[in-house]
Amino acid sequence: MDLTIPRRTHPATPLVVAARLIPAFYLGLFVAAGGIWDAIGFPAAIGAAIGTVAVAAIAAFFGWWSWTKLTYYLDADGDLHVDSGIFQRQARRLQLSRLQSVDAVSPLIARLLGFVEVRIEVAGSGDSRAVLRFLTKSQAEDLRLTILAKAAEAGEPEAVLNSGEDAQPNQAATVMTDDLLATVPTGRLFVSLLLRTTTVTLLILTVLFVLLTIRTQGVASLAIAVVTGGVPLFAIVGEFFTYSDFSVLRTRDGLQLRHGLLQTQTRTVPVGRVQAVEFIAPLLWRRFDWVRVQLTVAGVGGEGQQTGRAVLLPVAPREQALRVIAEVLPGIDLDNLPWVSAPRRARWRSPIQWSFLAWAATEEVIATRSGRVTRRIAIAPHARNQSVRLVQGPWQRWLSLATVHFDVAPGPVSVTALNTDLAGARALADAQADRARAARLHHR
Amino acid sequence: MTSHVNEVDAAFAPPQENWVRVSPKLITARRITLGMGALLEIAVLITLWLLPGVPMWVAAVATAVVVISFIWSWWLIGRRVRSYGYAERADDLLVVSGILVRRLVIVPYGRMQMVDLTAGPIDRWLGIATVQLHTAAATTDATIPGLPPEDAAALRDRLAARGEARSAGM
Repeated sequence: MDLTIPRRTHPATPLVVAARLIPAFYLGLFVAAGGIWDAIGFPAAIGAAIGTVAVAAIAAFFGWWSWTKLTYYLDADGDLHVDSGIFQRQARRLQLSRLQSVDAVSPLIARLLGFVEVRIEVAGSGDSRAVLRFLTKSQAEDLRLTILAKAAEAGEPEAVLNSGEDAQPNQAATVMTDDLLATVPTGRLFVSLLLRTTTVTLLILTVLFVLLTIRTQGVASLAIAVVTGGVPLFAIVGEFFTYSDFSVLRTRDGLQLRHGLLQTQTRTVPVGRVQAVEFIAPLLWRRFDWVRVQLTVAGVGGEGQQTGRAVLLPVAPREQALRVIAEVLPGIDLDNLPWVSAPRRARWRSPIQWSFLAWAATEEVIATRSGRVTRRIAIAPHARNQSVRLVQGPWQRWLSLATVHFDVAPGPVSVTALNTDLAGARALADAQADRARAARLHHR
Repeated sequence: MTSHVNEVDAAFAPPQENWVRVSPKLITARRITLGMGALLEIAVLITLWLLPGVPMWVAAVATAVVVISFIWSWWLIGRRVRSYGYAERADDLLVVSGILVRRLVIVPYGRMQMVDLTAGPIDRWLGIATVQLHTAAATTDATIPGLPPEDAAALRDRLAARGEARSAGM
């Protein structure tokens, strides 16, 4: 498949997009027509129905027209061009050397018909995302592999973080087939979502409000109960659908994350793009020794405007999580990090979590931990540490404490040594700046 | 107590002799901006006094609040500007700021992605400029306001050159 000549997405795209909208359209139609029939009368209802159909037809026409105007191709420099727009033409050019991720997303209806939507994200502000909708599965796979190959050629040879100086780009990769690293069984996912701290808290609140309703027979408490009960249910159902059938594979181009029940999503995270990792263990997960692993991902040379996040594992046993993390951050022994705890005085500033606050610096990474009910351990390789900040508020000054922030690219993970001893804080900041500098020279 | 103060001083101490301080013209610039805001507040106060429906004590309290906060901000600007400082080391830049909440940020040259030099109309009139560093992290907060324009331009050029030389991507 020659991707250097401009091509359109699959001709059936306008139909698939329309098919996705049909349920909403008919619902709107019936609600509008039925409501108007009751209120005004039959002729008005027919008028409303015809009007809705006319609007839908116009929308369909414009959908088809904009499909004809959307083209994409790869140019000689290895940039992806996506041109679109009917009246206002937009020519978007994505530099593949800054590739952040390539996702193949398949909404339910599209999946039934065998179509896939490809989302390409590069680092940078402004026009840094392109969505190509819809392609057949084989077209999408071809496109995804070509993009990943071009990105590896064009970008720095950091496509695999632990490759060392003698690494060759893609061509001489040792892994030719995909290795399955981890999966998440459905039962574990479901139980883990139920046992999350916010969920449990909201459910307890719901029960309390329901009891209150029964005692007082008041509507207000029932309304609150519905909200506190509905929110976690919504969240659980949403996350369940998103993270069902989760699997992590090691591929030539990085880690591939596949998940989704109705809408399937395949996301490829080039290993060299991982900026920071976080392990999250809520209270009720600890009896099973489960953790959730989150990543902050970004592209090479990005302006730092992109928020790149990826859930590496929504829930996994600790040992499994450590094994998967070893792909991204080799040589980390999570159980033997040299933790330096916050002093006892920190309990005046962080009464709940002070006993768990600590930082650890090894040759490879800087790590911090925090939390009591939900324990978090955040880890960043020295090479990914952008700057170090020492911050001290007035109460901290009185208590001889300070907070040291180890800044990384924007994302869900923040590496912060909260309320650490003042005496060592400046030394820590200076030492970390040195370590970060040394790590950069090595990774060059 | 003395040793405690020494500890704090040591934590925010400059790497060499002294921090390079910013120009006092920044104080003037910020006080001008404060004054412009005060004009707006005075307009609101005048309407409060003149409106028939508003009781006297409300207008009096509002006036007192505005006056006190103005005097407090006026004084605070001086102290805050004097707390700004920076130092260039061999491999990184340090910027210190703040009175109540003290901040020290260390930005390695190799991590700098952009160096901005900006000056608003008041800054230009008074002869100062602001240098801001950007890294890939949004939380890096390395802003040095109130530099004389030549110094600011020279600093920016030095930083950009060092950043270029040490750049190693992300």
